[in-house]
Amino acid sequence: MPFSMKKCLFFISLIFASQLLSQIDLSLKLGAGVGFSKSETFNSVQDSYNTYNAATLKNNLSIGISKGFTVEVDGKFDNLFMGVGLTSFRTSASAKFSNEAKRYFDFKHNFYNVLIGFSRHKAGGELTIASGICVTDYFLTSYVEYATGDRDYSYGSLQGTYHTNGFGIPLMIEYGKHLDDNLKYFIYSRCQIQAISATKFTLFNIANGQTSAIYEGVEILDDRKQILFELGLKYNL
Amino acid sequence: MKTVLFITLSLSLLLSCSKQERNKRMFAGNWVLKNINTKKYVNNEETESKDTTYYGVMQLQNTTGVENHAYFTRFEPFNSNYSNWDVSDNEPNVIRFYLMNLDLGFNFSYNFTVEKINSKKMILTSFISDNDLNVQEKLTWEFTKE
Repeated sequence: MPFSMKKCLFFISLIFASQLLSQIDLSLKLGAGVGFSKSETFNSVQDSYNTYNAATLKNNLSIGISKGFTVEVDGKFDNLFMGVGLTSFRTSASAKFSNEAKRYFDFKHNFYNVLIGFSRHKAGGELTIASGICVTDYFLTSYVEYATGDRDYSYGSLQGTYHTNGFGIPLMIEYGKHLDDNLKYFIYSRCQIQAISATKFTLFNIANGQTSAIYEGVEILDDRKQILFELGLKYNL
Repeated sequence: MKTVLFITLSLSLLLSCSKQERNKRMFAGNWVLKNINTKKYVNNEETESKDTTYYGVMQLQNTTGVENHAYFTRFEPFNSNYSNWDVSDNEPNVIRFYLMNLDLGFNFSYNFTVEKINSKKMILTSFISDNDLNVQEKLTWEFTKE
């Protein structure tokens, strides 16, 4: 993409936040978690794939749980919360054939979030609710693993890596408890919902001449919705 | 201190490079073909493995223009033609060559799976398999950086 949405979004947040830095409490957050995701277009491809290959499939194509991490810098001014960070999650779908060959669809979703919301500290705990805007990087990699253990990224109508960028609106609810009397270290649990995707763009395979991800006439778009549950540590700077 | 840390972390996220551009830089350069290995399979069991020592040079250019060119020296079947090339986004799993000869009126493209790529070595593979995903033949090209 000639225009980087990521860079524009973070440049705006950087200018905005830098004006308030002297007045706000900053913290650094690291977390990891699991989640669930759903894509209407991929579900259609999944059904079509299982029907088309019914005679030779040993295990139908099905999607697993998502796993990932978050890195975030937060600022708090009274009860106002601001956050800038990256949440990256991976999900994999696989099908197994009777000769032990497998087809994989690996999804990687990066959310570059700018969050704003409400945060209240009370009796050793801190509740935060925030929303904002996110720029997304969405990758889909499809490959075959033969019974010999070799991977082939060039076989079939859905081959290689597809990519697109998009926008969305995240929703985050978080509860943290401090681990020390100085209120420097917090442990937190978070539920993050990436359900509102403002864009449903086409994914493109650059190494295949800009083809899109189409299987039996159904196109896979970046319409994946995710709900993610995280545990992590926060350090007040 | 807070200001410096905030700006540093934000800029790190801000300036994270396009993976596709990083992948292209990894592949660009002169690659010397050292060996071609051919493995044959029956019922997904290996029945034959043969190494062919073969000398050829493949130059992969990385330009800021729309197309990146690859030039081949003593390199069948490309001979001394050139082709366009592209690599996958995210992880460098695929390299694609697009060969066009307007004089002879043909064009074709071919994707290789990238088994390994680093600053010194590149291993490309391609497979011949049947409609039931049984491997019949695996070809492996081993290159070293010149």
